[in-house]
Amino acid sequence: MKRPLEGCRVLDLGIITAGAATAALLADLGADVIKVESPSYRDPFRVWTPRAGLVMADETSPFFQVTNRGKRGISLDLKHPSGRDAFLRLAARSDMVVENFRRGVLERLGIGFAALTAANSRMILASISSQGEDGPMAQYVSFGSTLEAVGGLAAVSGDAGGPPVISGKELNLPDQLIAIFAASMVATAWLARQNGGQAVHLDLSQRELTSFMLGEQFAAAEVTRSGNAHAAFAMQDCFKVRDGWLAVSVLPHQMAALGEVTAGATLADWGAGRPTAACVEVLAVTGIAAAPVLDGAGVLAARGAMWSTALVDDPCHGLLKGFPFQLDQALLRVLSDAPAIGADTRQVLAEVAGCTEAEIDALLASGAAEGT
Amino acid sequence: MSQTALQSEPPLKGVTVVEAVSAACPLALRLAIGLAGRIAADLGARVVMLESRDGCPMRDLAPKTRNGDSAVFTFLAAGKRSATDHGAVAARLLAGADAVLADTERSDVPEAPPLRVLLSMFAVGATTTVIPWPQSEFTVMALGGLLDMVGEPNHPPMRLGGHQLAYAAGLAAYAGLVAGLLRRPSREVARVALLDVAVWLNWKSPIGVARMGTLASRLGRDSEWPVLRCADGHVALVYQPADWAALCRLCADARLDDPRFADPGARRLHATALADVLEAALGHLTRQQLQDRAMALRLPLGPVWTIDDLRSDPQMLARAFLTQAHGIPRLPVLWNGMAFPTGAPPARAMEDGA
Repeated sequence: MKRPLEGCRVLDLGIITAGAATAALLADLGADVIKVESPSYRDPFRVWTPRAGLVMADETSPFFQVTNRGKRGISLDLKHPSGRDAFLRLAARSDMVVENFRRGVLERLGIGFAALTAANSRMILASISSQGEDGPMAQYVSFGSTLEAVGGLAAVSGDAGGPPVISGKELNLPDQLIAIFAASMVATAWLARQNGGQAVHLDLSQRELTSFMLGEQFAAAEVTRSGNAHAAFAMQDCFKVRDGWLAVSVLPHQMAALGEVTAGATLADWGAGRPTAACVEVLAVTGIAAAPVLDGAGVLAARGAMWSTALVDDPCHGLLKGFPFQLDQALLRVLSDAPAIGADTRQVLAEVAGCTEAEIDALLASGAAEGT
Repeated sequence: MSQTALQSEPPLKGVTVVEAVSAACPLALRLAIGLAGRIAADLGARVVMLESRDGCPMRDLAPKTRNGDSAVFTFLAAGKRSATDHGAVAARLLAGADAVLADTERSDVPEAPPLRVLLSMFAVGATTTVIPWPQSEFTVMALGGLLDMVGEPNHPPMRLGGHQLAYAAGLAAYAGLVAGLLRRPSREVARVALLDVAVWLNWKSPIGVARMGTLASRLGRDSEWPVLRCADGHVALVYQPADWAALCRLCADARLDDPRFADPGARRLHATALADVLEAALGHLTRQQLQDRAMALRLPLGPVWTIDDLRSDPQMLARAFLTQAHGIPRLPVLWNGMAFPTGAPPARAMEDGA
């Protein structure tokens, strides 16, 4: 069973979520993904914690593990001439590079698009950045929620008359979205290459994707913040019920039925003394969409019953990030754990770059490479 | 700047995609299918949307453009064709397509297209008793934990604006589409479940519970990245621990020397007090001033720009992000420096005579 990206090799310079999660999806689709770190620069996600001040002692952060599963790992100092040369030898035998460095870093390291295509005339380079490759703000730096603010999402999120709202550090929505979109654009470039396409530099601006995800707002005559309400529904909001929050969407033609259910009381008053499950059941019978607002524990408890592919099991380490879609035949799969730093340096340099043992020893001895 | 229209052949040239939804298809899935098709159309595919005789419901969906058209339809249907979802024309289109984008309730999607991308609210095989019950994009966001993550702790959970979950499912559906095209000539089915997409987006929350025993939830102003008032609006105060010194230089306020703010853990414990100090220190600056200074200091602060602001934003203009004809976003990728052209939305049933 040939997987969609089988036969495709990716050099993954991605860090934290945006770049690294893009490359992870490529691995799920069958690509051979080699995560490239440096003796002097690790993926910051290795020590990322769910709360500031919560220090990961010796253990790699689960956030890193769940995002970088399915990859091999190599450590090369790209600032070292020998390390850069080794990287370009890898590029000559690879198909794609994924990166989300600050703009200009790739060129300063001597591995920009021109250098990559000199090494490999059919290279696909996916550059994920905050603002895009050019323009007056190309050097602006961001983390996920920055994009919500500068891309227009925050301005249309929140209650009318209240402050703008962002998804925040724990969700960081734009960094999740770019991984799906960037992986799909890389796969599109791979498809074009199968049809004779040549080298491609994909310029992916996270700010533009954030705005694209609000596309209709740009065409609208009037843009407003409306909290949980939506024009397609006569009423849509969350209500405090006895044991939590209840989310409800009521279509215009359902308002009369809702009035009968609540005997004319407001939904807030009607639900106040009732448990969520009972509220959901009564409303569902009338055709009204309703659901409990689940927290992370509630979401986890619904695994298997309500959702399946989003997270997957790892026999050694517990749950891993799964897939936003699935194929019936060529299943998306996670085939290995996240790599330790430089775990596959020798193997990759020998197998992919074609380095001799003596060359690998010299790279390790000079500090241009590290690992086993 | 380099954003001219693509000169070479687009990557999906020669590919035909048909959008086919059931009469009862939930709005969220219509939106997801619409976005996946829009991406394919921009990339050069011939995308035909099958519309009921009454027209696609999205043609009437708010918000409206100045012309009274649906802004949603204008955005999602750009560059597509339309045919009536009836009889021989629809059957011929489905039979001749390379791929079909459909909801799982669409029972007449034939086996003929080698690739089917099927969308549903819940994963096939899910066993919950709520599956037959009606759901909306909003209630699926509730089930996926997305609502729990946004807003103030003691206030109602909050959705983000627009159709973030439905469109995320649209991104996933397009990814499934191209993955399936790469499987040709083998037949393939790609499946997208709205709730699985929600959980995938919100992965840190259930993973935190399962692997670290930490339960994240919305913190609002008490979060590490609060939204603060400034002179002419708001700014999202996004920064990392390593940015603290630069943030202190930006604020130039001695109150930040307080031991309560000495390290990331202390700042986390006193987040509300810190937000108050930062708001007082930065409140006299405009969003533009904050953006200029953040760029100089390499701080990832986010001035909250409105949609109207963005229409004249120098970066958006430099990269020609909004189309001239309808003012909608082009596909957010440049291919060797070139943008894919975005077409116009179709009149009704333009392909009936085809």
